Amino acid sequence: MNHARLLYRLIGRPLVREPVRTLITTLCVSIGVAVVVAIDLAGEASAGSFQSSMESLQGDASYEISQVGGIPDSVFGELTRLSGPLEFSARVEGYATFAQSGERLPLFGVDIIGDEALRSGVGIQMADLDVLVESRPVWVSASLGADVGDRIELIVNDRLESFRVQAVMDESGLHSNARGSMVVMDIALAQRVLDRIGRLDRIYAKVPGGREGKWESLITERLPPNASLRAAGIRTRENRKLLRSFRWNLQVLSYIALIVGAFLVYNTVSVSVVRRRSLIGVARALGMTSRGVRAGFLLEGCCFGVAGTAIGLALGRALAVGAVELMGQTVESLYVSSAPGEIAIRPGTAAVAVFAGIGVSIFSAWWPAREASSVPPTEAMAKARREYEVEASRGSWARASLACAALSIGLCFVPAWDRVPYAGFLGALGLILSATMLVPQVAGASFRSAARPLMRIFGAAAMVGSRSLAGSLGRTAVIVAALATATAMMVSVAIMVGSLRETLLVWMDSQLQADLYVQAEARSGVEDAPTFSEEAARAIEAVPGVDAVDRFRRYAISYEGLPATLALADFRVHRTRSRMQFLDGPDMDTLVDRLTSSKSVIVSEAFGSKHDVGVGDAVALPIGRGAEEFEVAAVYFDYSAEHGYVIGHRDVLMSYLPDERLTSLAVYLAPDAEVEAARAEIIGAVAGRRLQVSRNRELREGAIVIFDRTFAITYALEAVAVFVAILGMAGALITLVIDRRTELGVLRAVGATKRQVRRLVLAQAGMLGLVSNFVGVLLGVLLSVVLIKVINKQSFGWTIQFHWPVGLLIGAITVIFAASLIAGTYPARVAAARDPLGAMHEE
Amino acid sequence: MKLVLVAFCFGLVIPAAAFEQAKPGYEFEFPRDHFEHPTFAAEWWYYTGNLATPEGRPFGFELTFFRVAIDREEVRKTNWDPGQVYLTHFVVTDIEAERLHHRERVNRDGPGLAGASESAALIWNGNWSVEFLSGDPRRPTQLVRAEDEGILLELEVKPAKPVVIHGRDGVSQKAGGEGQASHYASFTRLLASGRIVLEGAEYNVEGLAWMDHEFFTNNLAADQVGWDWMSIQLDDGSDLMIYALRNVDGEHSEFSGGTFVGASGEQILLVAKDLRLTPGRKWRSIETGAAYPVEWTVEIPRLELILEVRPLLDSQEVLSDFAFTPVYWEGAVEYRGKRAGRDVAGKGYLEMTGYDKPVKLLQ
Repeated sequence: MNHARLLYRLIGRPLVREPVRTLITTLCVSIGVAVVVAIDLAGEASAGSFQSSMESLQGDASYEISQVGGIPDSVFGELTRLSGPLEFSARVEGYATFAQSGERLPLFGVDIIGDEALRSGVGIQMADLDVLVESRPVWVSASLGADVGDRIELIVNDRLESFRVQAVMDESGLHSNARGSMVVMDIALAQRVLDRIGRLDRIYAKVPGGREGKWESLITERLPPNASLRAAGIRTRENRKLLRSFRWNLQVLSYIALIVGAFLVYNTVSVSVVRRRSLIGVARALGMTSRGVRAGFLLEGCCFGVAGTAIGLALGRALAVGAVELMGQTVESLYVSSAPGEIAIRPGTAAVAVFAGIGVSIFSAWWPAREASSVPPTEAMAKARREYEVEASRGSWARASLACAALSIGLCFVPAWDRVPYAGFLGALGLILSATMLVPQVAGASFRSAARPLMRIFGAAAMVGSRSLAGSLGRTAVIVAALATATAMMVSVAIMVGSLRETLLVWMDSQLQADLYVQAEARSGVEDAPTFSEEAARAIEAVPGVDAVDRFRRYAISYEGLPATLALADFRVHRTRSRMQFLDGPDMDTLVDRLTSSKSVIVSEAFGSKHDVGVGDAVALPIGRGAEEFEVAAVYFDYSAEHGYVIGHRDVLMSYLPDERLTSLAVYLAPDAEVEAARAEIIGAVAGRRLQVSRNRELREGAIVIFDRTFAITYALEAVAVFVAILGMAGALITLVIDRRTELGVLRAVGATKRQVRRLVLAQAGMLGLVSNFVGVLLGVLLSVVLIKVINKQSFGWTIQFHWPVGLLIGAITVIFAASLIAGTYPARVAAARDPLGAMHEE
Repeated sequence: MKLVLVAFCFGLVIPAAAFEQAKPGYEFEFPRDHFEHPTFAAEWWYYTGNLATPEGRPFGFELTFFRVAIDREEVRKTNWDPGQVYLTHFVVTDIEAERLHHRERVNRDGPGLAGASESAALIWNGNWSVEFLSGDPRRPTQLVRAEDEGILLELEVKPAKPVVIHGRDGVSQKAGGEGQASHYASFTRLLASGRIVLEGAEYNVEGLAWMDHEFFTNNLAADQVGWDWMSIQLDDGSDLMIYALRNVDGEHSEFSGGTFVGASGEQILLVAKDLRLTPGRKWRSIETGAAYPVEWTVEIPRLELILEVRPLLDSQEVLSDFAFTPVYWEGAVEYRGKRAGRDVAGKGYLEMTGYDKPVKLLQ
């Protein structure tokens, strides 16, 4: 017999003969790969298409100039007159809400007449100039679904505006992969509708390569002191940087699904080794080297890996569509307005998939394969099978487990590196590993001690099943480990998200104290909010029953290379009414005195931890003469965005900023005022403007809806984890039945009924489910502490109060347990249906 | 003549009624009239010239600012509401290398993007500009500057003769009817010196330049398809501008004409019957298929002048990035011939439009 045929006998035939086992193992690997791939793809795609649509209009500019509150028009005029082969491009940027669909669209005001780069890059053709303002032409992306000549209505700030579609932009003509919808109009029109007359939001500068330093200083000399000149596309990079820790968190979660798959490959291959010991012996006797045997079993692992990767890549690509949707929501509510970008499988993604699928499979098959290679040729003659023993080294496993746990806990105290908690992630994975190493001990003890009570309750079959599990601990432990890992992932994420949600609810209670909130109807995003005029605020202030209003305005700024928000609020109103929660700072009266009378600000916890500033430190804000220093008077809790917030008193900051428009207004009513009546009066007072007046309760409900949408992706990962766990359970039980068929045959031969055999397998399933749940919940709670206290704190800078989402946990555990029983029904039937004599004869 | 071209570029319907017409009796006043006249619908400043390095390497250049008013009635709310639009063509002809370097730029006046302001003594479109230095307002020194990737032109031009006003009674008539005319002034002999940078190579150059400034509101008559225009700077110190409007039938219009400026500055007004222009060899453009008569014979019996016109380079057709901008041939030429029996030679610029297809007029 030649080696190829031997190899086929050894490896190939079982793969084909036991299709369910093969299928389930492959499926588990592929789901692991798919989740990793999907998260990777979705992370890349949802990193933002606001950026990509912006990039598509930015061309190949070298620099971008921006200024909080906008750059005066005249600066642009001066820049264009500078000597040198320089190109400048002006932008007014904002958002509009497409009235028809409610979709929030980036709105760009560009120089339709003079911007050469744009005309060639985007394919915007010069319109009849005399209709540029009067007929309000707009250029829209094809995804908007409008045709040339259509009138479209957009809500811009607090007004409904009508435009005429001049042309539909050809997406193939755009730079980069702009896919998000957008609206482009002439800068004159954009300044009018966005209420930014005389101001530009951005100027792009293109300079000849090589001598950038010279041009940089030439340009900077012409800029107002608080304007900044930075490398073009910096915002994309800053946002990506901000997004990075979020993506890392999801990626690490996705790797956990892969770990479950790895356990399964290990289990399957090791069962193969044990089952085919005699065959290995024969092969060795016929001249196959031990190296050849090892390669054979590695090949088996590799088969699962290759098939799993192939399916996983395709499945991942499909799952990515959904994941992008979910992640897009998170990105939109926490980071930057974005429509998902293109899902593209890059070489990096493929490499990750191959590594995840094939690499992990070979890695998992390594130990069983080594075990196989150590089978001597004499084994062929041996009648009795030998359980390859974990037992003997149990003590050392336990010691290793403890060491690993200690190391992992140690890692949790290592600070984040560049704001990504790498050590924390390692710590979390380390904890999983140490729990896994402890599983044989825990499982062994459980199975043995459960045998007697089981006998009493469920009869002999259950007892035999439990003993049988204890007897083959080498493999059952692995099944338990796999299930426990999946459970732990689910539990930990549930606890983390539940805690965050509860923290948010409590925080909102203290943060939202006003009776009514007013904002422009156009939808707002993290980095940009529509504005309305001061007159509207005054009209509302004058409504009878209105006690006080807090004028709020926010600007997107860049602070130390990260996006942040600078906001203006009326702290005099806060003195008596606010119940803001502070991490650090003086009492409210002192704070308000300080904020209203000196150059002081308060910062959010996230800002403080990102930029390492606390009470008494100075922050240099890009307003006024540029790098204006303000003292941090307090640090407050905030969970609304991952960007940090800097808030100052309105009257103090207004002297540094150009316009008095507002982003929102908090309205406090007199104690005897009726809220609905006041709301009606306010709506009447600002009639003709598209303003939204919400009650406190509505705002809270809205926030929770947003929260749940934000974490939808985590819930989706939860679902995947449970699914993988159930699949793993079924796979594990199938291998168990295959492994134990002789034993089951013997049982049947000595008189056990089919029913009893079925019971036995079901009892095993139940036992496995129970032990896994037990280990999983313990590990999950531990992991959740790491997630909340280490990983979240380091990545987002949020203090989360620990909270048990009891209902969710009980539900999930029940589902897993029930699922493990259901997963057991198929192997139970297979086992019961087996011909006992045939099974015995196989030996 | 360029007006038609500009108006065509933008597909504008100029509401003529809102603008002032070019009518006889206009009193030119300088420096005011070197700059923008927003009460007229359109205007251009047109610098051309023949330059050479000390070693004799020849270059031609053109820097032309066109202004078109969008709508006088419009109340401007933002600095960006388009009131005036400036289109600028910048051409350097490297005759030895037989290459035409062409750039163009369009801007609204906007927040200081383009303009022709007396107070700033500047005509500009971005960083392409002509600065008028103080001095005699009828013969101010001007600094001409334009730069783009791989190309730079920097010239100081000094009028050797004071500003010339063309036509009769302040107007240059272009067709029959009142207002079918322009106000038209030129510096016919500018002593130019400065430098040209082409793709990193710098050339110090000197030579003669010409500047035309014309502003008006009305267009050519509907039966005119194009025109031929020449600036002629002769080595006896005299200069000559001639223009010939071409009718649909190919004949030159009765409103063709020109101005002769003698060495000492004396002017002679030329009318259609004084001019005899005979097209010669044609050069066919590969790009557009248009056949331009790049050689001409110019006869002006009244001046006892006969000149043969030869291009310094055949392919001086100016193409545009804009599909809707008509193409035209605008190029450096040399003249050889006799004036009153004596040999004369000179250089100048020739402009020909309407050869690829008739320049369609406004409705």
